[in-house]
Amino acid sequence: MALGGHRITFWFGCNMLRHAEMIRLSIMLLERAGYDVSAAGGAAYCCGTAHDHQPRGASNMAARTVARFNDAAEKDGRSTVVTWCPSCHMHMADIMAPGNSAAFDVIHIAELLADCADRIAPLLKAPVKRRVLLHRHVGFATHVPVNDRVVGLLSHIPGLELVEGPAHPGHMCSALAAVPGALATAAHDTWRAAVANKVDTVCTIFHSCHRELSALDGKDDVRIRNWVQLLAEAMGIDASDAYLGWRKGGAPDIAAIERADQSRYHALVEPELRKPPPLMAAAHGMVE
Amino acid sequence: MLNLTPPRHTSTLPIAVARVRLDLIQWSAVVIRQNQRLLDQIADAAHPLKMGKLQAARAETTEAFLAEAGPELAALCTACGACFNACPMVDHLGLRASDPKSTTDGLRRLAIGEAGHADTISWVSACTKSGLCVAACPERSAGLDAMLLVRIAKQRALNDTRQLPVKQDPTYFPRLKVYAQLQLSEEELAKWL
Repeated sequence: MALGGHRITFWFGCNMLRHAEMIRLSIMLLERAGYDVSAAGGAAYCCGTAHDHQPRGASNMAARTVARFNDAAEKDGRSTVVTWCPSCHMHMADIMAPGNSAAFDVIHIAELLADCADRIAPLLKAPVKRRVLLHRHVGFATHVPVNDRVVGLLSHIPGLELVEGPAHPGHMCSALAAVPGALATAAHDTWRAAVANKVDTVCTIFHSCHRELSALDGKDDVRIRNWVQLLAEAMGIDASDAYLGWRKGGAPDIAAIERADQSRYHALVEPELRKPPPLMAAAHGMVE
Repeated sequence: MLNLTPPRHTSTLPIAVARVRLDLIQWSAVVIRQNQRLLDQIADAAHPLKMGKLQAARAETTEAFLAEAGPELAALCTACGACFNACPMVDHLGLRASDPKSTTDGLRRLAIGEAGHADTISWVSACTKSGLCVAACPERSAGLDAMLLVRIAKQRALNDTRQLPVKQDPTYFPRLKVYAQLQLSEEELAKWL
């Protein structure tokens, strides 16, 4: 089928804004695969999936976002939108497109990079001596076989041993948070499998799983890494993880906090960073 | 008849073919530009994507689409209970003893704007998009996307029958804005958001 050249829009969604390094790594990987990347996300590119209670507002958000991507396709030749977030991807395919004429195609980043494995694999030269359990969900397979695609990509990393973990309900951890006990169960099952399989790393696929599991990093000598971080490591690139550090008791640089507005940081961000990890929530009977 | 499943496209021309065609681009770019069809083939060969070709718009807005799709999907549903039985959240909710047929009958009712059974409300409110209902649905081949039906039922329960309370988080986007300001450069803030 027709592909509008190598110019793409990388639509990283809203909640990836917690993980700026993962956005940058994703862009780097897409560029190494030969694409000219323009990144887009945040409220201005909201898909509206979290606004079921506001059908008119959600509809307007969807229209605005599709219009922006149509504009990028028409004026900037970016007729392919590469997604990260499975919620955005499914919402685009199932709800946004049937209600808005879209002049672009959509592909998930894991699918695209897996298709470019002939260009990515030769770059993965640095051995990553980790025994890794993949944290998976059953959802999203209706649209993209993302678990298989990530396994395929990680299999090119020299030195990395991969263990497929249990497949949890939902399309990612944030979906489980609304059901009392479900998120804690998924975290517990992942951790139990990690310990039983004697892995040293749990690999997340999506941002919300990374967000939830970050606070467990280091417990039982198991580290939390995302698949793009592991690919970057294999390219010899230092894949830092600010959010994970903050979740484990660290804090952003004071200058960054002041730039973001100290009072808003304390009111909006700090409570999230200091909440108990999901395993502790389970032990204490807490609702996530 | 609805067919809401996005079509899958695969295009995997051999690498050797891709290279030959890329050479052709360098040799005669002008000629190739005049032939859009060939150019498309070359682009496919160079970047063999499994593209998600989006379905064509069938309504003016997503709101209008969902208003149309609800009754259409409900008409396809036979309330057999297969989607309910396949759902991994049923155990989390303690609904395994519920009658799958009456629960999914409630799904149909909600999708056309009528009140649903209490068990249906509990069930649709806990949809985590596992998607196992999609494959389990015997009417899938007829165009019934069970996950979309559940989604629409939940929306109706929120907005029409008001059997579900609205949970709004006014701090959602302000929080993300703070995260962005904490980490992104001025250039990234300007270009990405």
